[in-house]
Amino acid sequence: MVYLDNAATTFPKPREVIKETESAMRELCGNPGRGSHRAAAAAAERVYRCRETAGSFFGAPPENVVLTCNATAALNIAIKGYARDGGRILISDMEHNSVLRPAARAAEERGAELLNYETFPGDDGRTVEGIRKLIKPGSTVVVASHMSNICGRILPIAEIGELCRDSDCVFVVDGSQSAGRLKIDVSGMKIDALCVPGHKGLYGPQGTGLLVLGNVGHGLPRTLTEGGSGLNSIDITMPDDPPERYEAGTLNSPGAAGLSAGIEWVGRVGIDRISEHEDRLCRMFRESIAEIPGVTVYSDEGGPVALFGVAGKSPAGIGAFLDGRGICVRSGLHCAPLAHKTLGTAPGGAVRASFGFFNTASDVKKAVDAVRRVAAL
Amino acid sequence: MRKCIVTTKSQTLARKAERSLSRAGIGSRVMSVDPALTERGCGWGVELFCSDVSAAEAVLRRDRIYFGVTLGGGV
Repeated sequence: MVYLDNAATTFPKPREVIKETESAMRELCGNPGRGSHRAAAAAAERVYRCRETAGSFFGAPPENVVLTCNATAALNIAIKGYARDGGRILISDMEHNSVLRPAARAAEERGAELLNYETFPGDDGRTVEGIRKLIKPGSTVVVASHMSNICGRILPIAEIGELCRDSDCVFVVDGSQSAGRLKIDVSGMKIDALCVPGHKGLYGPQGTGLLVLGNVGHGLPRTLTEGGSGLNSIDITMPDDPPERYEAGTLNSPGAAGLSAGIEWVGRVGIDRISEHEDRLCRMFRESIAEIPGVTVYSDEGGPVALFGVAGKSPAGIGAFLDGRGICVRSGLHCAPLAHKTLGTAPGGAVRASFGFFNTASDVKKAVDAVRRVAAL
Repeated sequence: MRKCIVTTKSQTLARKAERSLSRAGIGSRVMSVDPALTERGCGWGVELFCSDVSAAEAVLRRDRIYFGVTLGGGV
């Protein structure tokens, strides 16, 4: 099998991640944060270590690292939690449904305006200026996907963070495709809420994600879920402070153990080395298939993602053909219809090949051969 | 020697406090606090020798780790 769907979830996982997750399954029998007996304490200690590791990686104190089940859950807390009544929510024209849908719901529930800002590849200044013109100071939530899941477009989040800070706006970053590939410093980039999955660029298990809270000068987002927290049990509301404020119910402690190992692994390998490897393989693939008659490569913005189509063939058909040859890619709209509309590949979508650290040049060759075959049909 | 509990806002902050105290050479252990002893139900803190409390509070203040009341002696 040649796995080229790392933008959906990375595979394989590093040995260390599998080992830590498995040992947590075997050894951590307690419920973290519920009781202080040794079994619960052992699980709580592992969870805390994940917060420390993630906090250090993203530039936040451990108590600002909230464990979620994925980036979508984190985005829902951040977007819905910060949306103001009668305010404004700004999202880019490249957003995934994990941003668009909670933003649309929040706008409806809060009577807020939902607006798109245009992104201009290669002209960050113009992107930032576009946001500036749409801001309503003091009542705007700006959301930006750091890197697009269909074309690798990178937004200038440090500059947007600066603008938001100067304009008294909340800044939420979707780091789903960039965490583990690009440096993200919550504090330095003035991010109020960073939302990342554990199972993509951080090479952790599925079912994990993080909401990393920044300066919180805007106060904390409202809670989305209420329930048991192991703290202040007499109160009818959730605890006042993160992380417990946003962690109702039992945590995924084996997942946290694995995620911690994944972040440590990424730190050891180095994000520069990871992104250089992935980008190089993707470039090889993109350049090779661009020479095949009938193939259109839809984006040339670099990164680990190649979006393409074959004349006269549906994306689903291409995907099925490649799957028949052991090549795993994803076809369709990639849960990002807005981004496809911006790129001009809506409504039919396209085929996406996305590379990970464990892909090789041999994988590229096999995938290119398979695309050549389907194009020749 | 008598043990005391310096209460914290949460279990997470209790763990942060434990580490901070450990770096300063003060031994402590994360403990849950009986609901009967708090106003809001189940609480958390770090248990340490009562003789270490003043030093511990100074460390936590320095490291900006919020702490609450100290429950002392035989808890």
